[in-house]
Amino acid sequence: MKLSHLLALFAAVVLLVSPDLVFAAADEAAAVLEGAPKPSRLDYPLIGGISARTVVWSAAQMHLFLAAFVLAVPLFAIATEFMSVVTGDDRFDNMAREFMKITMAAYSLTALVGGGLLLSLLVFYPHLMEYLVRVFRGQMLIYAMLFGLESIMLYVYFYSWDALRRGNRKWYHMSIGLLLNTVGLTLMFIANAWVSFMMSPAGVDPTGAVTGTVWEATRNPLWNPLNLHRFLANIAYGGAIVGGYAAYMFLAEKDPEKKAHYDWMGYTSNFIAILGFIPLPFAGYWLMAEIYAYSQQMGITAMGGILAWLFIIQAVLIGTIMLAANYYLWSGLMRTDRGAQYAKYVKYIAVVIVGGFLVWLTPHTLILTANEIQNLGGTHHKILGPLGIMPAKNTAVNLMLVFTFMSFQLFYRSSRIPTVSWAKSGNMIVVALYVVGIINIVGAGIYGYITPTVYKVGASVPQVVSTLTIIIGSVIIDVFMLRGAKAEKVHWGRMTERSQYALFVLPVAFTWLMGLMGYIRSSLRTNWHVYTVMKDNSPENYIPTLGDAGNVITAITLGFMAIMVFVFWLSRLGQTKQKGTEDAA
Amino acid sequence: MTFLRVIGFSVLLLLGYMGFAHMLPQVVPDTSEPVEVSTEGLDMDGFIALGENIFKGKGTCTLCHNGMGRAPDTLEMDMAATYPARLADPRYKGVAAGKEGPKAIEEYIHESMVAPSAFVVEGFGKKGTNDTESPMPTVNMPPIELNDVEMNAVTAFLQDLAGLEPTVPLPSADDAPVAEEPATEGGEPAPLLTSGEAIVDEYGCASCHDLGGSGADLGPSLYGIGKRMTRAEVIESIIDPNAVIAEGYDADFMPADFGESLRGSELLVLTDYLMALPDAAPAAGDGKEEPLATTGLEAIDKFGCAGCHDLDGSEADIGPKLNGIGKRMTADEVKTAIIDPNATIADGYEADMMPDDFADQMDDSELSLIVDYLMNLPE
Repeated sequence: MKLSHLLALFAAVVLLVSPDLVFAAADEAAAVLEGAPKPSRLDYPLIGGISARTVVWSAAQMHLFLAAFVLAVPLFAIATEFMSVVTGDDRFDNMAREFMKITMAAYSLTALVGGGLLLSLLVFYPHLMEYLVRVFRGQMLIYAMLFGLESIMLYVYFYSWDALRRGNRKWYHMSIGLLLNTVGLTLMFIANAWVSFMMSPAGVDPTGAVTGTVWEATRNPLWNPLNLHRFLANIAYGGAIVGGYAAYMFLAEKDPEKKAHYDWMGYTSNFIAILGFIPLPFAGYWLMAEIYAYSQQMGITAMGGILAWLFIIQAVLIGTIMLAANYYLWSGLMRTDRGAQYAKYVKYIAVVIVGGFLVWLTPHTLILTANEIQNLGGTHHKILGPLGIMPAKNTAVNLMLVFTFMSFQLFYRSSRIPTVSWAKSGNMIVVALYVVGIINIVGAGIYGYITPTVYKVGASVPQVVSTLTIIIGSVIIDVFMLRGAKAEKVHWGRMTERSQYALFVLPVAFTWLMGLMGYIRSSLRTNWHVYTVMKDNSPENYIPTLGDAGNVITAITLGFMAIMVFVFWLSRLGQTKQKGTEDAA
Repeated sequence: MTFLRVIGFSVLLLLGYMGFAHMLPQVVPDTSEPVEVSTEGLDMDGFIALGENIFKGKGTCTLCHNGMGRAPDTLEMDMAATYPARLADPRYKGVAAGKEGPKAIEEYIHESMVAPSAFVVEGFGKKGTNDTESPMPTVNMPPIELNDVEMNAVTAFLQDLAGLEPTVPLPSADDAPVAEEPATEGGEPAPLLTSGEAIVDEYGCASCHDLGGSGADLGPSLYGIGKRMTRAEVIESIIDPNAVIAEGYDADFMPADFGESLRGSELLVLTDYLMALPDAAPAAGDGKEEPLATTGLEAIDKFGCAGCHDLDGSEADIGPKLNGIGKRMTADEVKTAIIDPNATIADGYEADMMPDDFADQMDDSELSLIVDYLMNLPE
């Protein structure tokens, strides 16, 4: 069957299941429009003493963790598979395969928890589900179909690995991987449409009556910012988890050759995690800017209202991630003989990273008691207060990113000696890029203090541009300058055990951070199921305290860690052979 | 061993994050359902006070209308000069364009709430719209959902703020009740008080007025007030206590900021409660006596100390501040100051202000609990 036939078949199925995906629901305009349900407090099922919100929250967050992992690893795998083709280094291919095997075990658990989430939503929030089904109609069936397709693609991609490993066949295999990732991302985008619709409904009138097409509801104001944010976060998350696995294997292995392999795997995973992580703050800014554009109230609730303290926790988590990733990179300088000559810069980078972390951590708009205000001499601390506003935080974040990239660059440079004639000029250009970029970041930060609030966010744009210019410009120059460079030996495996713990910080902090951000995103709706359209009148319609949220997030993260340990154990069990059986055979 | 070390490290890290979440201030949500209160009988002063409460509370106006530059700082600007300038602005094409006077300003304020884009103040429009589209939500739509009475109250408040006589009609018995939700935006959300007893306790009314058997006589007895005053007069005497002074009492004695500290619905609930009070205090022994306090905090609440003294942020200043009193006085001196308050008068304060019958009102155990509590209060 030709591809065009397959596409036609798919289109026919789509039309059959959900014609309103393509055509506007014209007949509905004439019909009496039914608004969103208005359940009273008594309409929410009470089952024993079970906290409905905690059950749904736990199931949703666990599903998201697992889904992020099983979507991230194929992204990670296709990237490393491509690297293996480009570099001819089989280690990339082996690593990708090793991780796809782990994904196979995690995939069924993802589906299982997803089923649990659906069940809990139907049991505890039937009116909300009825409404969402009414809005998204056949799209939910398409989601289910795509899930089936994802399963098929996943199995085909994994089991065809060895059969399609060499020559042109490798490209067939990578094409399957590309399709797998396309289906996976489509699934994520559909699910994102549902949650973003709950925050910024579109395609419905003020009463919640469906007036538009499914596509209009899908393309709500926060859909694309959320898509980008989650896509980048998935890449970072996948890298972080693989890094954690590699670190554990590094610590557990005694064989130097295997130790070297896992050290290399840890470094590569950390690289991918940070690669995904660097643009994340910018995607976050976009998401926040769109939230403000959609509803100033929602934006202020997040940044200056009841949820403001959460961003201090977020700063701690991201600061931990930055410090851990940098510490790991600095430790990596000992892998090369020339690394020592770059180690002298580490202390300066450390000062910037820690300083940036402390600025980011500084709160601005605090919820204070009258006594605290009296003791503080006002609502803001006289010296530290100015460090709590956006210009200071933007400056801190951009500098942290620039210097984290510098840590990468130092390690990369430590294993290569440029041989091109213009190496000195190239180095001067790189230094100039850093100097001008940093001056621009700091200058735009200072400008942010003297401009009205509405322009402060605008002042962050040149900062972001400066950061990206430094990074992209340096990479381009390095690519040309280090072409044909004299390669120094990298002693993979020559790492301290302590450095591996930095790699554990990443997945733990990422997972907790994702839980925290999920809590923030949901809380922004305050006491609405669907913001401004369908009120949440359930007994648990309030925003839980930070402590309560911390307890739930920690419990779910522990649960996820336990699942991951189980999945890794299953994967290793598959490689274990009964002693003596090989010899007997 | 490696496995256990790694797990231990990860769990410790997680517990660290969880502990940090607990270290930060916990904003405890108010889980009570919204209350609805009648506005019947409100006079214009009460209506203006209600409008101010809505402006700062349910309306969430001060989230943006403040000094941060997101929206014009209505509370600080000279609105008396601003409103006429807006009406005359050639960019303004709304319902009050070209008109003058308080009624036109009422129409302009109302329009700015229900159709915020009718006129966008220069520099405050949505990005890229050249000040033709306002980022302000329509206040009679979700999520704010002010009803007509509430919008009129806000209009009355804004007109009063500009020094104008409000032109909006007062609510009638047929109007929708005022719905108020717990404030959760911005500062610490004080729980919404929904009963008269709770409001009287919170604001320490019985410290000065005879209420709940307190026997206090610094202000007039509140028993039978429903027969002596109209509902509007009671509201006025709460939010503007110096407007009319009862015979035999002094002006400037009752705090004048209850209009700001009481939420809109609290003011109305308190008024309803006071209007329904019996003519006289219930006789002793009728089973309604308050139980003995068992903690210092309970005793402090029971006798309403924070109504006159600055205590844990109450900011009352009729008597000296109680926080840090343990550093200024001995336990015996504190005890004497309670049971014989005129024995020594603190600098800057007057004699005969504090009730001198606490020795009769308090059980010995309650007196000890209060003294212990006060002696251990931080600065």
